[in-house]
Amino acid sequence: MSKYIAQRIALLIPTLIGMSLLIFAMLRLLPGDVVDIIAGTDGTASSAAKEKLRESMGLNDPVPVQYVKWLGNLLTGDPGKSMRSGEPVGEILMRALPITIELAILGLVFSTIVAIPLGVISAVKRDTVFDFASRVGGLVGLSLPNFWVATLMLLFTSKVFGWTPSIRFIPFTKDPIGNLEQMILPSIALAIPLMAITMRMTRTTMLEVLGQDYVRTANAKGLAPQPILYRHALKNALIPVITVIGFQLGGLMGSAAVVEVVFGLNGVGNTLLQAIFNRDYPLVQAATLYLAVVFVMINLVVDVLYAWLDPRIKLG
Amino acid sequence: MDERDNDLRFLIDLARGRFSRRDMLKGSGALAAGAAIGGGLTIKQLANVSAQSPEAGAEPTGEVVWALDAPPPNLLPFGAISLAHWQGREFFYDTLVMWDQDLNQIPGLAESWETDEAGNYTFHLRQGVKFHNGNEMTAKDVKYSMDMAVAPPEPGVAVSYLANITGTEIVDDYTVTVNMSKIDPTLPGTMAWGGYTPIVPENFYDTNNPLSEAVGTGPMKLVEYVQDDAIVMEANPDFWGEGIPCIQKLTLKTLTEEQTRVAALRSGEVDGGTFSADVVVTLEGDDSITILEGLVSTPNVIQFQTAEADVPWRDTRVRQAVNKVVDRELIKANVFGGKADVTGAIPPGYGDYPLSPEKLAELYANDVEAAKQLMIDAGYEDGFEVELQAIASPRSYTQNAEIVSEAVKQLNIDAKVTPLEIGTFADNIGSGAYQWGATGRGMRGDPSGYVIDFRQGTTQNVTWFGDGYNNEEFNELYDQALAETDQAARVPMYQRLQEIIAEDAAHLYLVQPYKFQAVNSRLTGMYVFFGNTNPGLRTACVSDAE
Repeated sequence: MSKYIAQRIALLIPTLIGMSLLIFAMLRLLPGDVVDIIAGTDGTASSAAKEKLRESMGLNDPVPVQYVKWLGNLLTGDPGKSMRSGEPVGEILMRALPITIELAILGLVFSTIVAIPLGVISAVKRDTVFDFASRVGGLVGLSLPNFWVATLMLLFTSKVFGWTPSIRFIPFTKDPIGNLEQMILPSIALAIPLMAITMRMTRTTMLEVLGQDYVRTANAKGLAPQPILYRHALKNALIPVITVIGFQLGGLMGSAAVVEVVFGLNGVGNTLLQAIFNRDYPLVQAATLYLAVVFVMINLVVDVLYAWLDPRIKLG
Repeated sequence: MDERDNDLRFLIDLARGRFSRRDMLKGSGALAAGAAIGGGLTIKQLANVSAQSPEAGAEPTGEVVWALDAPPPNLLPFGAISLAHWQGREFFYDTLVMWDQDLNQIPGLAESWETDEAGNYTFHLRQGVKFHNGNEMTAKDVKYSMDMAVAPPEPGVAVSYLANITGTEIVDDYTVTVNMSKIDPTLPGTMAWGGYTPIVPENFYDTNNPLSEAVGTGPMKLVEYVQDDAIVMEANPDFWGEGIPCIQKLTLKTLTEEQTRVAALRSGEVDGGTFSADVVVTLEGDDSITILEGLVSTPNVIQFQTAEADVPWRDTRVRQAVNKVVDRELIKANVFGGKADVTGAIPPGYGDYPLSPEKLAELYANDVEAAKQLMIDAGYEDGFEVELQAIASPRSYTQNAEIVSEAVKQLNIDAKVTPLEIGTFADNIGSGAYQWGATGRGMRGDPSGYVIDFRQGTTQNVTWFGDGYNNEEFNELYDQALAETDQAARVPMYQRLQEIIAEDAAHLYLVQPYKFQAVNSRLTGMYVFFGNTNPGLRTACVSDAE
């Protein structure tokens, strides 16, 4: 197992290099650069001064040279500074990270605690009104983009209750209640589409498992329905569900961006988005690298969990 | 200068609600041509100010959160800036000359100023002004700041507006002379505009991090700057303007999503922000929200690239024909729902300089038959094909382009509208890589800034017009207006310059849309400023503050 994990982590390196190359190249295909952002676009700035600034920021170097320079700095532990505010990107990310992690975890918790029981009940009470209702609900939840749900929630609470979550982040350590009050709407907005996916997945796999021979055998042996459901069926049915949830967590770390923007929370996604809009290369590169690492690590954890859930799966 | 001081004091008092409504009306009559009233504030709103504001002479109280639609990239005081950047730092700094709400030049950190025959400016500084760090502002700080403004250290980028300054000399502790390479009447306007010449303490770049720290003389002091998130400020108790600021804490929070700003305004999480015309109507009828509208400098224009050889629109008659078929009133009604004014090169609201609506109506009169005749005379009766690039977002630029494209069909001109993302569009316009372009102009510190591009040989003129447009009368008058230091004498010159632009249809100026801000009704004294920044927050108050 440990050999397998080591192998997987070693695989991370080529993945990250490939990805960083791609991001590096694509970013530079975008029109304009940070100098245009700093100097505005009104034609007031002298173009000679802009060129000089580009030169000293290293933006005029050939892209491969820029890449090697950046990689060299990164390897010595310096991911660079924001080209706009000069703040080290590490600090910016550390400020953004708690927001995103909390959102991702809360979103996942909400979606999972609702979706798995719903999926199980739906499967057990197949073709009942409950099943139809939750399936239709699932379909609707799946079709609603989370930014739309988020916007609607905000407009609804502001119009009806005259309330919206605080627009400045309140750390959990400072004010737990204030923090949860602030995070509950965005996490639900994130959770709704995930909920639908997990629910549908749980229902499908549960139905499949319930139709298998060993369940019939357990029934035939005279086991009570409850232990069959929880000890035999559910554990096996959860394997694909765990994969899906794992991917969701990875996705959430980055794709919370839109919800973060809507709620004015400065998590990693929102930071990345602003960095892209403002062509803040070092910040974009650092944020995407971080997202890639998270994604790969989560996949790894999911794979390891797999082996634990199903001993037939051999790693390595 | 005394009289101007009174104007300033009157404005401040007005905003602070020290006048009854009757005083106010009397006061406004006393001001030259009612200059202090108008713009964004209606009489009704002003009456609200006096009814709800706290007692005069009170300590700053209450907290205001203002939503910005884009994050200020940093707080750098010197160099070229974007609007977001400017809005992020406007409350920290003052300039020697300032503008009132109607763009009248009023004393800022300089109590008075004069020019000599060589065009050099001498500024007499206000005494006893303190920086946020407690030090008094003197001539050496002003010299340092002006030197930095002319040659900003990186990542600042020098601006052309200050190119004629050769140096700043200290005369005594409270007097400085700014030496000019030639007579340049644009300096006071450029200073008053505010963004390029803030006054910082001497050696600011050595003692502070200029990217994320701010030390000025302005009404608000920096508490916290969080990139892409918020700028938190508190009242500067030593501010030189009496009774300013009125609010104790001001937070600028970046909310890029307009619907988020709507929700946050409704819930009271933010006290105000800027909204598009379509969205602001959804806020109407909410008692807790006051909607402000006002002109803001964004004249919408269609520009013709004439540097390229052999394009049909190098012929003045072709451009004149286009001018005769484009209906500005239609654009005003259909694109902006009537919330716009027809504009020349200098937009309505910019002091005395814009052309009158009557004059514009005459210059823009539609006449399809005459237009067709012009096309025949020019030899293009069968029309031609042209690409019309437009800014994709906001949508209005593309809509302008579509209306123009539809109109020129009458002349057999096939104008294909290409909406472009702003970055690409700006690149194309900047480098001249377009045929026709639908865009808008921003704010200018001096009227010359609105017409400079039509002067043969200037930077943009070379890329935009080349040898395809050159009007000698324009060139001479433009130079003459820039050698005239009497601001009043410059007014008719700039009006004539605009007439020439319209007669030659060098560019096709269309309309200038209004800007909308919505504020929580507890915020009083706020107004939409023509220059797109938010100086109203300097003097605004909150009515429910203890």
